[in-house]
Amino acid sequence: MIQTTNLTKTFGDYTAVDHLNLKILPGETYGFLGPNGAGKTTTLLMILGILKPTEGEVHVFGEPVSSGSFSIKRRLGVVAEYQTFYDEMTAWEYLLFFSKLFEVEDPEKRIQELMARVQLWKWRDVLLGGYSTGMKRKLGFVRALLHSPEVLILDEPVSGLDPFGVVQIREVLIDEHIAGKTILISSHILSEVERTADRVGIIAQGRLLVEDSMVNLRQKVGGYRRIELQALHPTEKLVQEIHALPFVDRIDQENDLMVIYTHDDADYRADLGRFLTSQGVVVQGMRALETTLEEAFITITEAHIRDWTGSQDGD
Amino acid sequence: MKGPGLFFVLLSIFILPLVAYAQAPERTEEFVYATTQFNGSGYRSALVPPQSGTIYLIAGLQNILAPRRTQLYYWPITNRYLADWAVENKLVDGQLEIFQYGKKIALIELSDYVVQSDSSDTEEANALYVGEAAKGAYAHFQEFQKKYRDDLYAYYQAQDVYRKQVDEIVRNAVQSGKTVSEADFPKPPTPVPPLSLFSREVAQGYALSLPVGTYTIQMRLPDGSIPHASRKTLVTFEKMQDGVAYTIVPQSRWTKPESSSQPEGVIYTPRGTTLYLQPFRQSQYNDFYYTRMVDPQDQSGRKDRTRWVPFEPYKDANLRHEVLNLAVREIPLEAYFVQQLPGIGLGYEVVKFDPANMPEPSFEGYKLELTADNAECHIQLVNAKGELIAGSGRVIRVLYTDRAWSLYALSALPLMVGFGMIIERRRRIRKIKVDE
Amino acid sequence: MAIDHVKSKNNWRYHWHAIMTLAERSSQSTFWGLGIFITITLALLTSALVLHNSLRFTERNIIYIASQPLFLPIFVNTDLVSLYLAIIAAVTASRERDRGTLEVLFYGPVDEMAFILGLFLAQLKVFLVAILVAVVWLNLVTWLMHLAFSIEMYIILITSIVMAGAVIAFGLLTAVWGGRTRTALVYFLLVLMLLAGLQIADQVISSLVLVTNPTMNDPILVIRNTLVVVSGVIQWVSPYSQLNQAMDAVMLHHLSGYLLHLGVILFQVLVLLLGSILILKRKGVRG
Repeated sequence: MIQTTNLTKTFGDYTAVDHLNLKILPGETYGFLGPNGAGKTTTLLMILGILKPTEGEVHVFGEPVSSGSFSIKRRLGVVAEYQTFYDEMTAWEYLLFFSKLFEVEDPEKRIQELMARVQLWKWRDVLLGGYSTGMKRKLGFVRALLHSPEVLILDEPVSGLDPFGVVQIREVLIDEHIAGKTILISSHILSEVERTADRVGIIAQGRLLVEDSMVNLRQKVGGYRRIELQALHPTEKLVQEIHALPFVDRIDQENDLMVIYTHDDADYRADLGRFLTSQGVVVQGMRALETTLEEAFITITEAHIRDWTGSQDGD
Repeated sequence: MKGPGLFFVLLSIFILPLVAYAQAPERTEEFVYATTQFNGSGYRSALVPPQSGTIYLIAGLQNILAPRRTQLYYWPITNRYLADWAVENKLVDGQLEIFQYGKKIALIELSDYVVQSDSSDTEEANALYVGEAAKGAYAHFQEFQKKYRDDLYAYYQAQDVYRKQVDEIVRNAVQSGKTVSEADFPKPPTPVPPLSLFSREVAQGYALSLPVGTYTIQMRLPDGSIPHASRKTLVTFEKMQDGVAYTIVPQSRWTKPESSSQPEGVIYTPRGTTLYLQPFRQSQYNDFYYTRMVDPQDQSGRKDRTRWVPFEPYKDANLRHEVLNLAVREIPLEAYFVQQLPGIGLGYEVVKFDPANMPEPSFEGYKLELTADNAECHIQLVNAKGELIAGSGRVIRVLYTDRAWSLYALSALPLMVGFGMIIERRRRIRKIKVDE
Repeated sequence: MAIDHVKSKNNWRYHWHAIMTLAERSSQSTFWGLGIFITITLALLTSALVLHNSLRFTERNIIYIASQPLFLPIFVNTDLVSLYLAIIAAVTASRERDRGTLEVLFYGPVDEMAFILGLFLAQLKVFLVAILVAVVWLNLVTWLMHLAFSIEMYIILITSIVMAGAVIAFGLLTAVWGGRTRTALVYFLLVLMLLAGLQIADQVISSLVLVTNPTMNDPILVIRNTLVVVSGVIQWVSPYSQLNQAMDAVMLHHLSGYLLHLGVILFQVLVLLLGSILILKRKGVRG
């Protein structure tokens, strides 16, 4: 559905995107992540045809974006990170305008349906200059969905929203995903991406570091390196003894709850269990903790930055 | 341009004219042409200095090109070159060569010419005589002038005798105490009619009458040389069409007539006006050519414009006055006299000329009274055969000047509509700041 | 090939649809403000003043001869309205870029050509409304004052639409060239002042004395000759000047002259619009 081939963008001496090869498949939700300044927004702008690549190509629906074909744009729905509106229009007028632009059928009904979903319908006749940040973000979403696009490109879609708003948007995204739409999300709120993305791509300094499914990513990066243990009144001596075990790296303790970090991906729960039993410890609960996307992200990007810095120093 | 540079440029722009004004105009001896050209109504002279490369003349008519040497100077006040004829005015002897398409087509010798006029207007003459006719015309003028002087002398003599006779009668009446009547006095001598023929002296120049075209001219002196300033382009042009102009004299402002020369020009006048229309024959010329013909140094005049030049009053026609879709009548040309009203108040009235009681008519014209009934009418000259004269038609409309207030009232309407639209929109929208 | 042809045909249809939708929104936005109504009113008031002057002249002078007494009021009216709309076009275009709404449009089926032409047609539509108002005003005024209203009036009014197009297109050019709203306005006003200033300078300098003799060249002569050339160029470049000359041609029943000046204005419109589109493509949509 969306494919970039050696996509590169330079601004003078600075390379914002460096030979990026992405492939977003039809019907999938793709999380596009990276630290600040990684080149995410630049990449998205090139996919949308707003910025011209220095090198490489972007194809959407099999057509090159450089052709400027309107048929591509009419099938895309976009929510940008920084959204601006016509303050002198009401929400209703604004959405009616975009409905006309995209030739939406039965626009009044469609607008009402979408606005009601995000609880904006009662504010439809308010001038957009009076909308709060969260309301504007939701309105941007409605605008993006008006014409039932095949592909949604979302840059920080839940930024500025309250928890209710986040839930509303998440539900919408899930519905769109179920309906078979392709969704490309770029966000710093990794928990939201984790909930919805099928695949994730992480870029840093313009380069794609890793691209994989959520499951594989977690396994690649963290596996089962943490065991959460809840014991009744653990003593300091017990903690030290657990720390002394050969497979333990470190322990984070908060009252009765301990998170034990192991050296590798192997499952040491049995070994730990045997030890605790031998010590007569009452175990209230023990489970292996999965690596979160956030942890995977930090691990991957930190490593890259370390390597990159090291190579720079070596130079 | 940086600050100091700009300052010095501006300074020089302001200082240089002052320097120019401070100096007396420098005179240099130059070859010039003095033209005597027909301008559609009469003959006028113009100076063609060396700086003017092209001479314009009306085609098919007699015009004069006189080669002269004179003291030429630049006069900054009027922004033009002038000739000091009083200091130097020498005829340049030689032949005039005329070329067209690179071929010499004529060689003109100097001939005598004289311009005469029936008015004392020294700017424009209405007759040009060339060759032997010039000498004859001038001789005729000299005879006329002599007769006028003789008649004038006889008149003064007779006037003297008359005054003495009147004094005698009055003295006798006073002495005798008798009443005398008008019949007792002798008739006063008839005044000599004013001079009706004026003439310049016979001069020499090249008489040209060329068809429409562009030519090159130059003088060939007896020694075979060609003065550089004598080489000019000569453009002859013809009139575009004839028409009729009107001088319009309003009853209440007869000293300020207006002229209508454009057939498409509508004549507007307030309600209740009486107008007197005086028709003139006119010809239409290209504005650029005509302007340069009259004054070769005049840079105005546009090739895409035309101008009408009236040349003589149009007599022998009536004015057909038609009020649209209604009455049609013919108004004859009549003479009118402007009569001062008696009394201390200033004022006059225009009345029909009565030859028995009035010295001479003030003007001739067609009288047109405009009332509300003829708020729009059409006028056109019609000749004795009943044919309408082309180019003489005009539309006259009464302008309702008392309704000027409505111009402003109508102009305010869009603003009211705007207010209405904005109020309507404000009614439909909510202008609030939502605080979630 | 057939598919390409269909795609190409569809692209033009989408383009046209985008242009018309943008034009509708933008013209609507112009009518939501009081500015256009104030401008139309002021333009009519100025025309009224000019016409009133003719009426006063008639009252005092008894006779007023004019073939087209309404030409000057029309000229003044259309000049003022077109100038305002050009400024609106410039401000609208540059504000879209400044505040980022242009980028949002470009996410959708809008490109540089659709944007520029959309704004252009929007203001032209507003101008058409102003012309209609002027036609109504002129008809009422001629009826009330008993002026003659000729077919040439309509020709001039139609020509003024093309002139307004050129002025509006110029406004758009300054917007894309200047980038920010303030810069665009400054550029717009600077160019207007430059053109007016050059014409005034030409009139002033040409009336100054020329001291010329065979051995010396007056520097004023150089400036004067330069300004004459520049003035000549301005005559061809200024849409107002071209409208004025077209009006002259109409009065003189000079069809070829009229068509020439109409053609020049149309050419100006095309060049300015094309220039705007190309500059926007080069600069990009991000403010």
